[in-house]
Amino acid sequence: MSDALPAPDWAVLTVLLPLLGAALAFVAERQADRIGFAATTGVALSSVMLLLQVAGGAPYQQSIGGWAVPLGIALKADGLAALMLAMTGLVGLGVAAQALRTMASELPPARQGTAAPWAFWPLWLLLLGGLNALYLSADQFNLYVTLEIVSLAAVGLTALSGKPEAFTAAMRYLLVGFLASLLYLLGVALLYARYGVLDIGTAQSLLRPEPVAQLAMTVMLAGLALKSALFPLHFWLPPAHGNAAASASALLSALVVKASVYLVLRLWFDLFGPTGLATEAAGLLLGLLGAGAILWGSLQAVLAERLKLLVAYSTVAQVGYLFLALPLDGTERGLAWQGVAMLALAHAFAKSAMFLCCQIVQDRLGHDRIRALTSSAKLPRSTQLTLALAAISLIGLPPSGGFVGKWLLLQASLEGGFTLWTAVIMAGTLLSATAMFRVLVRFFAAQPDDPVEAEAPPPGITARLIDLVPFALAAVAILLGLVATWPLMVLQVGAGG
Amino acid sequence: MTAALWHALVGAGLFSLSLYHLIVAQDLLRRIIAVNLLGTGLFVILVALGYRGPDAPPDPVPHALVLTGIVVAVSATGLALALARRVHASGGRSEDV
Amino acid sequence: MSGLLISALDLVLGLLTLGLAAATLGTRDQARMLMLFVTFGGVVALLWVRLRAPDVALAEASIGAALTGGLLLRMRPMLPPSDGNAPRPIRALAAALALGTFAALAWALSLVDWGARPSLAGPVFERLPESGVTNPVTAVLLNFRAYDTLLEVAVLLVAVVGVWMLSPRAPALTPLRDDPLFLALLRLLVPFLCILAGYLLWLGSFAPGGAFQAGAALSAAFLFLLLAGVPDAPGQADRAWLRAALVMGLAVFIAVAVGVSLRGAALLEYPPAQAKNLILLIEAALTVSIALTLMVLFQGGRPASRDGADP
Repeated sequence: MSDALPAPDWAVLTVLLPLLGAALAFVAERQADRIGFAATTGVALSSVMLLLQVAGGAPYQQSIGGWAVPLGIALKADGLAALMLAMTGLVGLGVAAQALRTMASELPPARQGTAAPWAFWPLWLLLLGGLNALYLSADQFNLYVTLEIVSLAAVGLTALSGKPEAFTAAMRYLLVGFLASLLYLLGVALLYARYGVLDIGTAQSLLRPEPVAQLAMTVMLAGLALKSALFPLHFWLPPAHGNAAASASALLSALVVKASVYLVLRLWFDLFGPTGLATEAAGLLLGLLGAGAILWGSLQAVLAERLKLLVAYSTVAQVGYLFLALPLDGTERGLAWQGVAMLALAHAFAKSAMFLCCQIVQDRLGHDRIRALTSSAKLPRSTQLTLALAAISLIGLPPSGGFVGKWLLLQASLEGGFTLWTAVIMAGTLLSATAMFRVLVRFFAAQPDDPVEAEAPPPGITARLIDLVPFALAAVAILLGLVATWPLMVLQVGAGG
Repeated sequence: MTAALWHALVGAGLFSLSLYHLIVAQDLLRRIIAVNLLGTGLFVILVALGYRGPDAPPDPVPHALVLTGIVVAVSATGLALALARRVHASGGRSEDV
Repeated sequence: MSGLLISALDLVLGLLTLGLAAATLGTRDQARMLMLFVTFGGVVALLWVRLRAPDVALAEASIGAALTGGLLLRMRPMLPPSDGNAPRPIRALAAALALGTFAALAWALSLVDWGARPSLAGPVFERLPESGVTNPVTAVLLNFRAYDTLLEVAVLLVAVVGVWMLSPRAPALTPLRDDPLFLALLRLLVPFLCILAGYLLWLGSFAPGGAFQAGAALSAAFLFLLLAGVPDAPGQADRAWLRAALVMGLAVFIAVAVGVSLRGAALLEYPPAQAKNLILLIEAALTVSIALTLMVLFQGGRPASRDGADP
């Protein structure tokens, strides 16, 4: 590159680099893992650079093709979008590093005919490009296309494990995702019918609280709630996340559900809120569904018999918390909005760490039944520690990112005098603590009789580093709480609307 | 009633009819077809929006959106059929989905 | 403004569309369902023509009806039918939901001012001379909203990867090579389809047509070659060039998008003088990739490898 070239556009790189990587990984299949990991690293780097740029106080904006809105499509990144992009890049990097190893071992050679491990890399890179495009897009129809990339790539990742249950879950996921995208698109069509624009920013100055816009909002939010697995539309999630390959589960639970929830928050606070469409009743309804998700998801997590299902149901509950921002904050970003942003970030790191640990448990013990878990020598101490750290953040104990998020939610709830939401947050926290401690106590119950198995020859330095990935991810979830002022400051960049 | 409104209503009917069948059908092939027809209903609404009478040129934006939508739909359908075959090949039943 | 009002043709087309959809979804027999579905696609294509959307009509007839229909017909034998129906309470709930959806939609649509609806048509026609093409739909797809199309090409790649992953060995296509009539027809059809694809591609810049319609025509040519059992036809074997050609559209699109921005312009901001050529370049690459993607979807799996790699 010569000096004459302009500074790299980090935002655009986070979209185009993974798409190009996917194309390359598809063509040069035998190098797919190297290409895939290199592209993921590049994307993670770009997203961090973008975050630093935005944190400096300058929201990102570009009119693609040089066509100003409403004719063209605009890309935008405020603090929230930049944080979500960095979260996607970093969690993705961790999972990809782990996948360098597990994508070979996860699928026994005898089964490689049923599902092809090579496909992980192009699917993951397409998912990554789709997610990043979604966070950056400021155009209602463009968002529809990004939603489709994300859901179809996620369906592919769900089926990757090659288990019969995974095929069934992926099929259901595909039909549900297809319907959800079309519901969203119906809303876009209705808004275009009434106002003749697709750009969100332009629409914000045109929308009025009238029947066409209200119906559009209803179907868009219904489609996105279905995609986010919001209770009682969560039925498709636990089997999909519980039967996918571990790397895929980590990506689906940590990243994919965030995309549609992010879109709900984006539309609520940027489009429906400022235009008076988002009513208190609508917020209350979505909040109640969120409360249902928190209680039902946490309860199912307490009752789950398999570790992976417990983790999957915990995602149902976590999605519920994110919807509490709507009734708590009303239509203007406030404490609850900051709280759910923190929760979403912390959950991505903690949940990916936990799913990757599930794989280690499955590999070492040959099962993931919670009742039969023990602190066996087969299970590395680091895995037990990682599970504990991730659990701390998921429950919402200090000093984790999950704690800061819940604390802000509680503060918003107490200040507003919302007894109902306070009670729900408390009850959910108790339930998820119960669920997580059910797993953790298994490790505290030491079993000295357990014979130490002959260890495999010590793995190389790269392998050792890869083993540390889940721990690093869980550590970030904790760290987020310790340095919470920084992400909370970044959130304010461009949050004026 | 204008022609555009009439066709938009036809699209709405198509959308709703397909929604019913998508929910109640258990046969995978039928569900895949239902979701395709649901999409077509939405496309009819969009193209009807583009129609501005016999004298004015139609609005090209909905047409472009529908073209994109048709390609996305055929991609999803291709993937759905490959997946449905695996569901059946691995002993799954349509009813389980 | 009598032309705006509903005519007998509109009434018939609309009722036929709805009737065929109801028949398609209502019939118990799978084979009849598929035939009705293809007929439905044809009628919808007529509807697009009536609504003055010829670009959409071409795509619907080729992709929506012909290709999707063929795909469904090909896969049907591998999908045992299930006669089961949802329990009565769910049916009642679904019926209520569908009726409610229709009522709400009908109400909302009737509130739209169909005479003077705000739209983006104004800005599109105003800036059309700067777009490099004169067909407004192509201008939207490959210039004003080219970013949508770029991402849509990524959706096609997801489908190819997914289908190859799920089905590492494509289910066999029954070759028709022994049928002399078919072969004679083929000698005419394949060159015709290739010329048609090139024509549609060229046409797209100023008349209905473009990469998607051209890609559909070209994919039909590929499919006929496959059916004829031509040994070197694209898709007979998994080769590096086949995979490269499948992603070529995406790669060229990204290369142009980034390339034009390096002079300090926005992503996908074509230099006005080059817009026409760049759009044609992208569309040519897209045509090949779209054609091969549609062929892969129809094949429903990955062909055997001939590069020595394990399948």
